[in-house]
Amino acid sequence: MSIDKSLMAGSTTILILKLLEEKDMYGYQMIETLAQKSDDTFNLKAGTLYPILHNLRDNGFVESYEKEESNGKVRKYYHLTSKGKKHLKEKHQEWITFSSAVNKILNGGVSYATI
Amino acid sequence: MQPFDEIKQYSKTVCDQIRWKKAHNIVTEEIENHLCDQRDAYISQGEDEKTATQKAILQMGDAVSIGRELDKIHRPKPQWAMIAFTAMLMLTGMISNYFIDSTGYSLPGLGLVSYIIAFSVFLICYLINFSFLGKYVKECYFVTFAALVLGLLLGTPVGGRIWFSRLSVSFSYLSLILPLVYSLLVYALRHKGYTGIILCGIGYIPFAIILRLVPSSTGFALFTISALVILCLSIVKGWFGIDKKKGLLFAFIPAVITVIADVIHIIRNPDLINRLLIAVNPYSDRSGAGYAYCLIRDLLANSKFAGKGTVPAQFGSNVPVIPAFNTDYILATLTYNFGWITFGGILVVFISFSILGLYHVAKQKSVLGTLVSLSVMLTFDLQVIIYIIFNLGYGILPALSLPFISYGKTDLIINSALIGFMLSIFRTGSIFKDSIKSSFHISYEDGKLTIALKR
Repeated sequence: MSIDKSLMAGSTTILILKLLEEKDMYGYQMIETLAQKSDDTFNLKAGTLYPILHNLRDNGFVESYEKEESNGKVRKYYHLTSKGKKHLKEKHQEWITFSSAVNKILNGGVSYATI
Repeated sequence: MQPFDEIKQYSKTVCDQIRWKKAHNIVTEEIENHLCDQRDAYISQGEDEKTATQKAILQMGDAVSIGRELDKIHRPKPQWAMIAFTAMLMLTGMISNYFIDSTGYSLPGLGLVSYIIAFSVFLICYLINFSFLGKYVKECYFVTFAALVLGLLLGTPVGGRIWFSRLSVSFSYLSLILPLVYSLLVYALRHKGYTGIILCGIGYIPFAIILRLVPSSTGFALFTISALVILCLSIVKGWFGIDKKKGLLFAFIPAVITVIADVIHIIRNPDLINRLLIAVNPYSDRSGAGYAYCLIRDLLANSKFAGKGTVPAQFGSNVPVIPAFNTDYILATLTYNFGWITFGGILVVFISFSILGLYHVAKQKSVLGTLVSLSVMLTFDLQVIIYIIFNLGYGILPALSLPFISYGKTDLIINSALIGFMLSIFRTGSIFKDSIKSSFHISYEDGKLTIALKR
């Protein structure tokens, strides 16, 4: 099922940070992994990814380094910094609060009978 | 249009939207690499090269909007506050030298010419692309070494220091550039693991020996502390790719041995012990070697919060002239003449500059940017700390210079160049790319097979 772009926009950063929490990756690898892990639900455009990555790097949440592959190709890998890990934790918490609030509304609102 | 030309055209369109031209290279490389990966994936799914390229470009998205987004991120970061602090320090130096110089030594033009030259040097270094330093490590190291050896052979000893008499350049100021040269050496050797650390140790020795052979010991201390910090930081950051604890042992054991050897040398040398004791308690030889320290301490004890201090009782009505007041004791002289408020004001500017500088060093994204800017900050901070301690009447290490303020053309120009380089790094460091270890490279692009044996 394709997802509305506006829904994706708010969560792309957290998804990228989460991917990098597992291991260092290069841009193309992130898009592929994201699509694979979400059964092609999240089909991130590369044009969306790079401005986000460069912004994260500028803010010190990720750092990049170049690595030469066995075929001689040089790739730019991104690595989650400790500041990035903290940011991910905060964003994750924010997401839990947000999604649980949305779910409550979608499920008919807070049941005051249980309070 | 050939398929690879389409990729080139796409990345060019992206870059056309980014106003900061220096950022184009890193963006182009990343976009093109991504497109090639995506194209190769489509080819492996059975598409021909042309279709695969077009699909990869389509997947990437609109080049103009990507470029606009990247343009918002990639901007030079001029550090106006630090530039203002630098100008403030230069102005303080110029005015201070004018007001305290009763001999008229620096009066002509307020020493303006020296400061104009220094500010020009600062601007040139600020606007220069610092990344060239990483490409000429060997040249930087050996040219500096040759200059030091020439200094030793041709220099003339005057007033306890060695001078290049024809140029009126004090040899001791050359020690100010050694931390930077050493940071370049560490940068170049960082891929070599334990061997790299050993080579960094070997690289330290020639400079250390030369600095030990000439006065003053401040140059040696400044270089040694800086070199150790630079090397340890590189190990802790994992840039040598080795076990950090073992790496630190590799760096610390020779350092501890050197310190022990120095302590033994001092203990076995009664003159040195005597000098140290006088530096701590100058009143034990008030009319001899402790004279200047006693004078400074007496004057500071009689300094006011604001305005000229009172005359210490032992001097009657005339305060003796402080020796080397505008080079070695400008801070103490200013404090006595204008009050502790001047000392406090100058200290605040130096501390603010230092905090800002170290903050930006910590924010550097490249190894070269971090190492070079750290080396400059260490040089700057150690000069200031040693100078302040000396100006409080504790001559454990002789003062070298108070950056931009104490009188001296060579140190003024060297410090201007160093700070200019550092601010250039802060301005453009975000787009600098460290060199990677590579000696053999094969690539296939646009129907051409390229084998690069050396890059």
